[in-house]
Amino acid sequence: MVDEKIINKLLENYENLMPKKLIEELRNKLVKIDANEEKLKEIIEKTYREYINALIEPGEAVGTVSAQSIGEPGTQMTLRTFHYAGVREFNVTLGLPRLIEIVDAKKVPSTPTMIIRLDEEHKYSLEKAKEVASRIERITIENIAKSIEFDMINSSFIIEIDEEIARDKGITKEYIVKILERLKIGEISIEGNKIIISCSISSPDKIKKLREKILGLKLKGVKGIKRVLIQKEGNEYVIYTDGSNLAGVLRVKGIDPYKVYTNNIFEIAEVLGIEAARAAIIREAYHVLEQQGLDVDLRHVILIADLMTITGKIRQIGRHGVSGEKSSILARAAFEVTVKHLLEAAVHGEEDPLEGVTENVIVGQTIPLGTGMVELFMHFPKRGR
Amino acid sequence: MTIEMTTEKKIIGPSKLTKYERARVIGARALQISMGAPPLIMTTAKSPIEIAEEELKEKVLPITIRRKLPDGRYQDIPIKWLLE
Repeated sequence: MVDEKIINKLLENYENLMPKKLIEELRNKLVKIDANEEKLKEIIEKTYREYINALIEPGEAVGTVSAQSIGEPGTQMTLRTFHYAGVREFNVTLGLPRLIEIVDAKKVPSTPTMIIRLDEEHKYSLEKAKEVASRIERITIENIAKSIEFDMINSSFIIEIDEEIARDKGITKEYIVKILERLKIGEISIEGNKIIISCSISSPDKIKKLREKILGLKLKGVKGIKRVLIQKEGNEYVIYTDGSNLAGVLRVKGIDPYKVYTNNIFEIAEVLGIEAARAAIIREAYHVLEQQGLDVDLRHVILIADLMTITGKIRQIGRHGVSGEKSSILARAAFEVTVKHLLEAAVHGEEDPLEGVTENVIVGQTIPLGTGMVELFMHFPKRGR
Repeated sequence: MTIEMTTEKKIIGPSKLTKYERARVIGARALQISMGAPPLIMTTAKSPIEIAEEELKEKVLPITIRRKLPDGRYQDIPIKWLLE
Protein backbone atom coordinates (compact mmCIF):
# COMPACT_ATOMS: atom_id res chain seq x y z
CA MET A 1 0.00 0.00 0.00
CA VAL A 2 1.31 3.38 -0.93
CA ASP A 3 0.73 6.58 0.85
CA GLU A 4 -2.32 8.34 -0.49
CA LYS A 5 -0.41 11.60 -0.25
CA ILE A 6 2.03 10.46 -2.91
CA ILE A 7 -0.79 9.50 -5.25
CA ASN A 8 -2.52 12.81 -4.73
CA LYS A 9 0.72 14.67 -5.36
CA LEU A 10 1.35 12.76 -8.58
CA LEU A 11 -2.20 13.26 -9.80
CA GLU A 12 -2.05 16.96 -9.06
CA ASN A 13 0.15 17.51 -12.11
CA TYR A 14 -2.59 16.13 -14.34
CA GLU A 15 -5.43 18.13 -12.88
CA ASN A 16 -5.92 20.34 -15.91
CA LEU A 17 -4.92 17.72 -18.45
CA MET A 18 -7.49 15.03 -17.74
CA PRO A 19 -11.18 15.15 -16.79
CA LYS A 20 -11.94 15.16 -13.07
CA LYS A 21 -13.91 11.95 -13.30
CA LEU A 22 -11.02 10.08 -14.89
CA ILE A 23 -8.60 11.31 -12.24
CA GLU A 24 -11.01 10.26 -9.51
CA GLU A 25 -11.39 6.82 -11.01
CA LEU A 26 -7.65 6.48 -11.35
CA ARG A 27 -7.16 7.55 -7.75
CA ASN A 28 -9.59 4.94 -6.49
CA LYS A 29 -7.80 2.22 -8.43
CA LEU A 30 -4.32 3.33 -7.44
CA VAL A 31 -5.09 3.33 -3.74
CA LYS A 32 -5.91 -0.37 -3.91
CA ILE A 33 -2.81 -1.61 -5.69
CA ASP A 34 0.64 -2.16 -4.34
CA ALA A 35 3.20 -0.19 -6.33
CA ASN A 36 6.12 2.09 -5.67
CA GLU A 37 6.29 5.69 -6.70
CA GLU A 38 8.08 4.94 -9.95
CA LYS A 39 5.44 2.46 -11.03
CA LEU A 40 2.67 4.84 -10.10
CA LYS A 41 4.20 7.55 -12.23
CA GLU A 42 4.35 5.15 -15.13
CA ILE A 43 0.73 4.08 -14.71
CA ILE A 44 -0.50 7.65 -14.57
CA GLU A 45 1.57 8.66 -17.59
CA LYS A 46 0.26 5.67 -19.55
CA THR A 47 -3.32 6.50 -18.59
CA TYR A 48 -2.75 10.05 -19.76
CA ARG A 49 -1.39 8.78 -23.08
CA GLU A 50 -4.43 6.55 -23.52
CA TYR A 51 -6.70 9.45 -22.74
CA ILE A 52 -4.99 11.68 -25.32
CA ASN A 53 -5.24 8.92 -27.92
CA ALA A 54 -8.92 8.46 -27.22
CA LEU A 55 -9.76 12.10 -27.88
CA ILE A 56 -11.62 13.01 -31.04
CA GLU A 57 -9.28 14.35 -33.70
CA PRO A 58 -9.91 17.76 -35.19
CA GLY A 59 -11.72 17.35 -38.48
CA GLU A 60 -13.97 14.52 -37.36
CA ALA A 61 -17.60 15.04 -38.40
CA VAL A 62 -18.95 14.76 -34.87
CA GLY A 63 -22.30 16.34 -35.69
CA THR A 64 -23.06 13.85 -38.42
CA VAL A 65 -21.98 10.97 -36.23
CA SER A 66 -24.20 12.25 -33.42
CA ALA A 67 -27.18 12.63 -35.73
CA GLN A 68 -26.78 9.11 -37.01
CA SER A 69 -26.13 7.64 -33.60
CA ILE A 70 -29.36 9.06 -32.24
CA GLY A 71 -31.34 8.78 -35.47
CA GLU A 72 -30.80 5.12 -36.13
CA PRO A 73 -31.91 3.87 -32.70
CA GLY A 74 -34.74 6.37 -33.00
CA THR A 75 -36.19 4.35 -35.84
CA GLN A 76 -36.45 1.40 -33.48
CA MET A 77 -38.39 3.30 -30.89
CA THR A 78 -41.97 2.33 -30.56
CA LEU A 79 -43.68 5.08 -32.45
CA ARG A 80 -46.83 5.04 -30.41
CA THR A 81 -45.70 4.84 -26.84
CA PHE A 82 -47.59 8.03 -26.32
CA HIS A 83 -48.19 7.35 -22.71
CA TYR A 84 -47.07 4.90 -20.19
CA ALA A 85 -48.40 4.23 -16.76
CA GLY A 86 -45.25 4.87 -14.79
CA VAL A 87 -46.50 5.80 -11.39
CA ARG A 88 -49.87 4.21 -10.84
CA GLU A 89 -52.54 6.30 -12.53
CA PHE A 90 -49.94 8.72 -13.83
CA ASN A 91 -49.22 9.28 -17.49
CA VAL A 92 -45.90 10.51 -18.77
CA THR A 93 -45.10 10.94 -22.44
CA LEU A 94 -42.04 8.91 -23.34
CA GLY A 95 -40.55 7.37 -26.40
CA LEU A 96 -40.34 9.08 -29.75
CA PRO A 97 -43.00 11.72 -29.07
CA ARG A 98 -41.10 12.92 -26.03
CA LEU A 99 -37.75 12.94 -27.86
CA ILE A 100 -39.31 15.03 -30.62
CA GLU A 101 -40.70 17.37 -27.99
CA ILE A 102 -37.23 17.86 -26.54
CA VAL A 103 -35.39 18.59 -29.79
CA ASP A 104 -38.25 20.73 -31.05
CA ALA A 105 -37.90 22.79 -27.87
CA LYS A 106 -41.61 22.78 -27.20
CA LYS A 107 -42.50 25.48 -24.68
CA VAL A 108 -44.65 23.18 -22.56
CA PRO A 109 -44.31 19.39 -22.60
CA SER A 110 -47.51 17.47 -23.34
CA THR A 111 -47.36 15.90 -19.91
CA PRO A 112 -45.61 18.26 -17.54
CA THR A 113 -44.65 16.59 -14.28
CA MET A 114 -42.60 17.43 -11.27
CA ILE A 115 -40.77 15.34 -8.74
CA ILE A 116 -40.60 17.14 -5.44
CA ARG A 117 -38.47 15.98 -2.58
CA LEU A 118 -39.14 17.22 0.90
CA ASP A 119 -36.90 18.71 3.53
CA GLU A 120 -35.62 16.87 6.60
CA GLU A 121 -38.63 17.79 8.69
CA HIS A 122 -41.28 16.53 6.29
CA LYS A 123 -39.82 13.67 4.32
CA TYR A 124 -40.11 10.84 6.86
CA SER A 125 -43.75 11.03 7.83
CA LEU A 126 -46.77 10.53 5.63
CA GLU A 127 -48.76 13.04 7.63
CA LYS A 128 -46.24 15.81 7.09
CA ALA A 129 -45.83 14.89 3.45
CA LYS A 130 -49.57 15.15 2.98
CA GLU A 131 -49.48 18.53 4.61
CA VAL A 132 -46.93 19.77 2.07
CA ALA A 133 -48.81 18.13 -0.78
CA SER A 134 -51.98 19.95 0.14
CA ARG A 135 -50.03 23.20 -0.03
CA ILE A 136 -48.94 22.34 -3.56
CA GLU A 137 -52.08 20.88 -5.12
CA ARG A 138 -54.21 23.47 -6.81
CA ILE A 139 -57.77 23.39 -5.52
CA THR A 140 -60.57 25.51 -6.92
CA ILE A 141 -64.23 25.63 -6.02
CA GLU A 142 -64.87 23.41 -9.01
CA ASN A 143 -62.89 20.59 -7.40
CA ILE A 144 -64.91 20.44 -4.20
CA ALA A 145 -68.37 21.51 -5.38
CA LYS A 146 -70.96 18.87 -6.10
CA SER A 147 -73.03 21.33 -8.05
CA ILE A 148 -73.45 25.02 -8.62
CA GLU A 149 -76.79 26.47 -9.52
CA PHE A 150 -78.28 29.87 -10.02
CA ASP A 151 -81.57 30.52 -8.28
CA MET A 152 -83.50 32.85 -10.56
CA ILE A 153 -86.15 33.76 -7.98
CA ASN A 154 -83.80 34.92 -5.26
CA SER A 155 -81.08 35.74 -7.78
CA SER A 156 -78.44 33.84 -5.87
CA PHE A 157 -75.82 31.17 -6.49
CA ILE A 158 -76.14 27.92 -4.60
CA ILE A 159 -72.94 25.96 -4.29
CA GLU A 160 -73.28 22.47 -2.92
CA ILE A 161 -70.07 21.35 -1.29
CA ASP A 162 -68.94 17.76 -1.36
CA GLU A 163 -68.08 17.52 2.29
CA GLU A 164 -66.06 14.36 2.00
CA ILE A 165 -63.68 15.83 -0.55
CA ALA A 166 -63.52 19.10 1.32
CA ARG A 167 -62.51 17.37 4.50
CA ASP A 168 -59.92 15.31 2.62
CA LYS A 169 -58.36 18.43 1.16
CA GLY A 170 -58.56 20.19 4.51
CA ILE A 171 -60.89 22.97 3.52
CA THR A 172 -63.70 24.26 5.73
CA LYS A 173 -66.83 26.02 4.52
CA GLU A 174 -65.88 29.05 6.56
CA TYR A 175 -62.62 29.21 4.66
CA ILE A 176 -64.46 29.08 1.33
CA VAL A 177 -66.75 31.88 2.48
CA LYS A 178 -63.76 33.95 3.44
CA ILE A 179 -62.27 33.52 -0.01
CA LEU A 180 -65.60 34.19 -1.71
CA GLU A 181 -66.00 37.41 0.23
CA ARG A 182 -62.95 38.79 -1.50
CA LEU A 183 -64.84 38.71 -4.79
CA LYS A 184 -67.29 41.25 -3.31
CA ILE A 185 -70.34 39.98 -5.11
CA GLY A 186 -72.92 39.99 -2.35
CA GLU A 187 -74.17 38.43 0.89
CA ILE A 188 -72.87 34.97 1.63
CA SER A 189 -74.50 32.50 3.99
CA ILE A 190 -74.08 28.84 4.86
CA GLU A 191 -76.98 26.44 4.95
CA GLY A 192 -76.09 22.84 5.72
CA ASN A 193 -73.64 21.80 3.06
CA LYS A 194 -74.68 24.63 0.79
CA ILE A 195 -73.17 28.03 0.36
CA ILE A 196 -75.56 30.68 -0.86
CA ILE A 197 -74.36 33.85 -2.51
CA SER A 198 -77.08 36.37 -3.07
CA CYS A 199 -76.28 38.91 -5.68
CA SER A 200 -78.47 41.26 -7.64
CA ILE A 201 -77.74 40.50 -11.23
CA SER A 202 -80.11 39.16 -13.80
CA SER A 203 -78.58 39.26 -17.27
CA PRO A 204 -77.74 35.70 -18.35
CA ASP A 205 -74.47 36.94 -19.78
CA LYS A 206 -73.26 38.22 -16.43
CA ILE A 207 -74.49 35.13 -14.62
CA LYS A 208 -72.46 32.93 -16.90
CA LYS A 209 -69.35 35.04 -16.40
CA LEU A 210 -69.72 35.09 -12.64
CA ARG A 211 -70.29 31.36 -12.54
CA GLU A 212 -67.00 30.79 -14.35
CA LYS A 213 -65.29 33.17 -11.99
CA ILE A 214 -66.59 31.37 -8.92
CA LEU A 215 -65.74 27.94 -10.27
CA GLY A 216 -62.17 28.94 -11.06
CA LEU A 217 -61.59 30.58 -7.71
CA LYS A 218 -58.34 29.41 -6.18
CA LEU A 219 -58.69 28.06 -2.68
CA LYS A 220 -55.13 26.90 -2.16
CA GLY A 221 -52.13 25.43 -3.92
CA VAL A 222 -49.77 26.35 -6.70
CA LYS A 223 -50.97 27.46 -10.11
CA GLY A 224 -50.67 24.78 -12.74
CA ILE A 225 -50.41 21.77 -10.44
CA LYS A 226 -53.43 19.69 -11.29
CA ARG A 227 -52.82 16.64 -9.16
CA VAL A 228 -50.34 15.40 -6.61
CA LEU A 229 -49.35 11.95 -5.63
CA ILE A 230 -47.29 10.87 -2.65
CA GLN A 231 -44.95 7.97 -3.19
CA LYS A 232 -42.70 6.20 -0.76
CA GLU A 233 -39.15 5.86 -2.00
CA GLY A 234 -36.86 4.06 0.39
CA ASN A 235 -37.60 5.61 3.72
CA GLU A 236 -38.74 8.98 2.48
CA TYR A 237 -41.85 10.33 0.87
CA VAL A 238 -41.67 12.01 -2.50
CA ILE A 239 -44.36 14.07 -4.19
CA TYR A 240 -45.14 13.54 -7.86
CA THR A 241 -47.29 16.08 -9.61
CA ASP A 242 -49.34 16.39 -12.74
CA GLY A 243 -48.61 19.84 -14.08
CA SER A 244 -45.53 21.90 -13.47
CA ASN A 245 -44.69 25.26 -12.00
CA LEU A 246 -41.12 25.40 -10.80
CA ALA A 247 -41.11 29.00 -9.63
CA GLY A 248 -44.31 28.45 -7.67
CA VAL A 249 -43.30 25.19 -6.05
CA LEU A 250 -39.93 26.58 -4.97
CA ARG A 251 -41.79 29.06 -2.77
CA VAL A 252 -43.70 26.35 -0.92
CA LYS A 253 -42.60 25.60 2.64
CA GLY A 254 -41.45 22.08 3.44
CA ILE A 255 -39.86 21.13 0.13
CA ASP A 256 -36.18 20.63 -0.53
CA PRO A 257 -35.45 23.38 -3.04
CA TYR A 258 -32.23 21.69 -4.16
CA LYS A 259 -34.02 18.53 -5.22
CA VAL A 260 -37.08 19.76 -7.05
CA TYR A 261 -37.30 18.43 -10.57
CA THR A 262 -39.52 19.27 -13.51
CA ASN A 263 -39.60 17.98 -17.06
CA ASN A 264 -40.46 21.43 -18.36
CA ILE A 265 -37.14 22.56 -19.82
CA PHE A 266 -38.21 26.14 -20.47
CA GLU A 267 -39.22 26.58 -16.86
CA ILE A 268 -35.81 25.38 -15.78
CA ALA A 269 -34.14 27.83 -18.17
CA GLU A 270 -36.23 30.65 -16.81
CA VAL A 271 -35.78 29.93 -13.12
CA LEU A 272 -32.35 28.35 -12.91
CA GLY A 273 -30.56 29.52 -16.05
CA ILE A 274 -29.34 28.13 -19.32
CA GLU A 275 -26.72 25.80 -17.86
CA ALA A 276 -29.40 24.06 -15.84
CA ALA A 277 -31.55 23.85 -18.96
CA ARG A 278 -28.68 22.24 -20.84
CA ALA A 279 -28.33 19.65 -18.10
CA ALA A 280 -32.09 19.10 -18.20
CA ILE A 281 -32.07 18.52 -21.96
CA ILE A 282 -29.28 15.98 -21.58
CA ARG A 283 -31.06 14.25 -18.73
CA GLU A 284 -34.48 14.15 -20.35
CA ALA A 285 -33.24 13.02 -23.76
CA TYR A 286 -30.96 10.41 -22.32
CA HIS A 287 -33.70 9.15 -20.05
CA VAL A 288 -35.99 8.62 -23.04
CA LEU A 289 -33.34 6.67 -24.94
CA GLU A 290 -32.43 4.64 -21.89
CA GLN A 291 -36.03 3.86 -21.07
CA GLN A 292 -36.51 2.48 -24.59
CA GLY A 293 -33.51 0.24 -24.06
CA LEU A 294 -31.35 2.04 -26.60
CA ASP A 295 -27.67 2.27 -25.85
CA VAL A 296 -26.63 5.69 -27.15
CA ASP A 297 -23.42 7.30 -25.97
CA LEU A 298 -24.09 10.22 -23.68
CA ARG A 299 -21.70 12.45 -25.62
CA HIS A 300 -23.98 12.51 -28.64
CA VAL A 301 -26.78 13.80 -26.46
CA ILE A 302 -24.44 16.33 -24.86
CA LEU A 303 -23.50 17.68 -28.29
CA ILE A 304 -27.13 18.23 -29.16
CA ALA A 305 -27.82 19.95 -25.86
CA ASP A 306 -24.80 22.18 -26.36
CA LEU A 307 -25.92 23.10 -29.85
CA MET A 308 -29.40 23.95 -28.60
CA THR A 309 -28.25 26.15 -25.73
CA ILE A 310 -25.03 27.75 -27.01
CA THR A 311 -26.68 31.11 -27.71
CA GLY A 312 -27.98 31.43 -24.16
CA LYS A 313 -31.52 30.69 -25.24
CA ILE A 314 -33.04 27.33 -26.04
CA ARG A 315 -33.23 26.84 -29.78
CA GLN A 316 -34.93 23.95 -31.45
CA ILE A 317 -33.18 21.69 -33.90
CA GLY A 318 -34.90 22.69 -37.12
CA ARG A 319 -36.49 25.48 -39.06
CA HIS A 320 -37.05 27.99 -36.28
CA GLY A 321 -33.85 27.24 -34.48
CA VAL A 322 -30.44 25.87 -35.31
CA SER A 323 -30.97 25.29 -39.04
CA GLY A 324 -32.78 28.56 -39.65
CA GLU A 325 -30.22 30.68 -37.81
CA LYS A 326 -27.07 29.48 -39.54
CA SER A 327 -24.77 32.35 -40.35
CA SER A 328 -24.12 31.30 -43.92
CA ILE A 329 -26.64 32.44 -46.51
CA LEU A 330 -26.03 29.54 -48.82
CA ALA A 331 -26.46 27.03 -46.02
CA ARG A 332 -29.77 28.58 -45.07
CA ALA A 333 -30.89 28.72 -48.69
CA ALA A 334 -30.04 25.06 -49.10
CA PHE A 335 -32.28 24.18 -46.19
CA GLU A 336 -35.63 25.83 -46.87
CA VAL A 337 -37.30 28.65 -48.82
CA THR A 338 -34.27 29.02 -51.06
CA VAL A 339 -35.38 32.01 -53.11
CA LYS A 340 -36.41 34.11 -50.14
CA HIS A 341 -33.05 33.74 -48.46
CA LEU A 342 -31.08 34.42 -51.61
CA LEU A 343 -33.18 37.44 -52.52
CA GLU A 344 -32.88 38.93 -49.07
CA ALA A 345 -29.13 38.38 -49.03
CA ALA A 346 -28.81 39.99 -52.47
CA VAL A 347 -30.87 43.01 -51.43
CA HIS A 348 -28.68 43.56 -48.40
CA GLY A 349 -25.48 42.86 -50.29
CA GLU A 350 -24.40 40.13 -47.91
CA GLU A 351 -21.22 38.13 -48.19
CA ASP A 352 -20.63 34.47 -47.52
CA PRO A 353 -17.17 33.55 -46.26
CA LEU A 354 -17.70 29.91 -47.32
CA GLU A 355 -16.64 28.51 -43.98
CA GLY A 356 -19.11 25.70 -43.52
CA VAL A 357 -19.67 22.37 -45.22
CA THR A 358 -22.89 23.09 -47.14
CA GLU A 359 -21.61 26.27 -48.78
CA ASN A 360 -18.54 24.55 -50.09
CA VAL A 361 -20.54 21.66 -51.47
CA ILE A 362 -22.69 24.16 -53.32
CA VAL A 363 -19.78 25.99 -54.92
CA GLY A 364 -17.94 22.75 -55.58
CA GLN A 365 -14.90 23.10 -53.37
CA THR A 366 -13.35 20.63 -50.97
CA ILE A 367 -15.30 20.76 -47.74
CA PRO A 368 -13.60 21.80 -44.51
CA LEU A 369 -13.90 18.41 -42.86
CA GLY A 370 -11.45 15.58 -42.30
CA THR A 371 -8.67 15.59 -44.91
CA GLY A 372 -10.30 18.55 -46.62
CA MET A 373 -9.49 20.68 -43.62
CA VAL A 374 -5.75 20.13 -43.75
CA GLU A 375 -3.74 22.92 -45.34
CA LEU A 376 -0.28 21.94 -46.54
CA PHE A 377 2.72 24.02 -47.51
CA MET A 378 5.85 22.60 -48.99
CA HIS A 379 9.24 24.21 -48.63
CA PHE A 380 11.56 22.79 -51.22
CA PRO A 381 15.08 22.33 -49.93
CA LYS A 382 17.81 24.46 -51.48
CA ARG A 383 19.50 23.00 -54.49
CA GLY A 384 22.28 20.61 -53.63
CA ARG A 385 21.33 20.43 -49.95
CA MET B 1 -10.39 38.10 -39.11
CA THR B 2 -7.54 38.26 -36.67
CA ILE B 3 -4.49 36.45 -37.84
CA GLU B 4 -1.68 35.78 -35.50
CA MET B 5 1.35 33.60 -35.94
CA THR B 6 2.29 31.44 -33.05
CA THR B 7 5.89 30.38 -33.48
CA GLU B 8 6.62 28.90 -30.07
CA LYS B 9 6.70 25.20 -29.66
CA LYS B 10 3.27 25.08 -28.01
CA ILE B 11 1.15 23.42 -30.64
CA ILE B 12 -2.43 24.15 -31.55
CA GLY B 13 -4.40 20.91 -31.43
CA PRO B 14 -3.02 17.44 -30.76
CA SER B 15 0.73 16.99 -30.46
CA LYS B 16 0.72 14.16 -32.98
CA LEU B 17 -0.28 13.95 -36.60
CA THR B 18 -4.03 13.34 -36.85
CA LYS B 19 -5.28 10.61 -39.16
CA TYR B 20 -6.60 13.23 -41.55
CA GLU B 21 -3.33 15.11 -41.71
CA ARG B 22 -1.47 11.89 -42.24
CA ALA B 23 -3.75 10.84 -45.09
CA ARG B 24 -3.51 14.25 -46.69
CA VAL B 25 0.29 14.45 -46.45
CA ILE B 26 0.78 11.00 -47.90
CA GLY B 27 -1.80 11.68 -50.60
CA ALA B 28 -0.25 14.98 -51.64
CA ARG B 29 3.25 13.60 -51.72
CA ALA B 30 2.20 10.43 -53.58
CA LEU B 31 0.63 12.61 -56.25
CA GLN B 32 3.87 14.52 -56.72
CA ILE B 33 5.85 11.30 -56.97
CA SER B 34 3.39 9.75 -59.39
CA MET B 35 3.86 12.78 -61.63
CA GLY B 36 7.58 12.37 -61.66
CA ALA B 37 8.98 14.11 -58.62
CA PRO B 38 12.23 12.56 -57.41
CA PRO B 39 11.87 10.61 -54.14
CA LEU B 40 13.76 12.07 -51.19
CA ILE B 41 14.96 8.69 -49.96
CA MET B 42 16.57 5.58 -51.34
CA THR B 43 13.90 2.94 -51.46
CA THR B 44 12.89 -0.26 -53.14
CA ALA B 45 9.19 0.52 -52.80
CA LYS B 46 7.33 0.52 -56.10
CA SER B 47 4.08 2.43 -55.70
CA PRO B 48 4.08 6.19 -55.14
CA ILE B 49 1.94 5.78 -52.05
CA GLU B 50 4.42 3.39 -50.49
CA ILE B 51 7.26 5.77 -51.28
CA ALA B 52 5.34 8.65 -49.75
CA GLU B 53 4.62 6.61 -46.65
CA GLU B 54 8.26 5.77 -46.26
CA GLU B 55 9.28 9.38 -46.75
CA LEU B 56 6.91 10.40 -44.00
CA LYS B 57 8.32 7.71 -41.73
CA GLU B 58 11.86 8.91 -42.39
CA LYS B 59 10.79 12.47 -41.55
CA VAL B 60 12.35 13.87 -44.68
CA LEU B 61 9.26 15.62 -46.05
CA PRO B 62 9.69 19.40 -45.95
CA ILE B 63 5.97 19.97 -45.41
CA THR B 64 4.25 22.38 -43.04
CA ILE B 65 0.68 22.06 -41.81
CA ARG B 66 -1.42 25.12 -41.14
CA ARG B 67 -3.75 24.44 -38.24
CA LYS B 68 -6.52 26.98 -37.98
CA LEU B 69 -8.72 27.83 -35.04
CA PRO B 70 -12.36 28.85 -35.55
CA ASP B 71 -11.48 32.41 -34.49
CA GLY B 72 -9.07 32.81 -37.39
CA ARG B 73 -5.81 32.32 -35.57
CA TYR B 74 -3.48 29.79 -37.03
CA GLN B 75 -0.13 28.17 -36.57
CA ASP B 76 2.23 26.74 -39.15
CA ILE B 77 3.59 23.48 -37.83
CA PRO B 78 6.39 21.53 -39.56
CA ILE B 79 5.36 17.88 -39.61
CA LYS B 80 8.65 17.00 -37.94
CA TRP B 81 7.18 18.44 -34.72
CA LEU B 82 4.25 16.14 -34.96
CA LEU B 83 6.25 12.98 -35.56
CA GLU B 84 7.46 12.93 -31.93
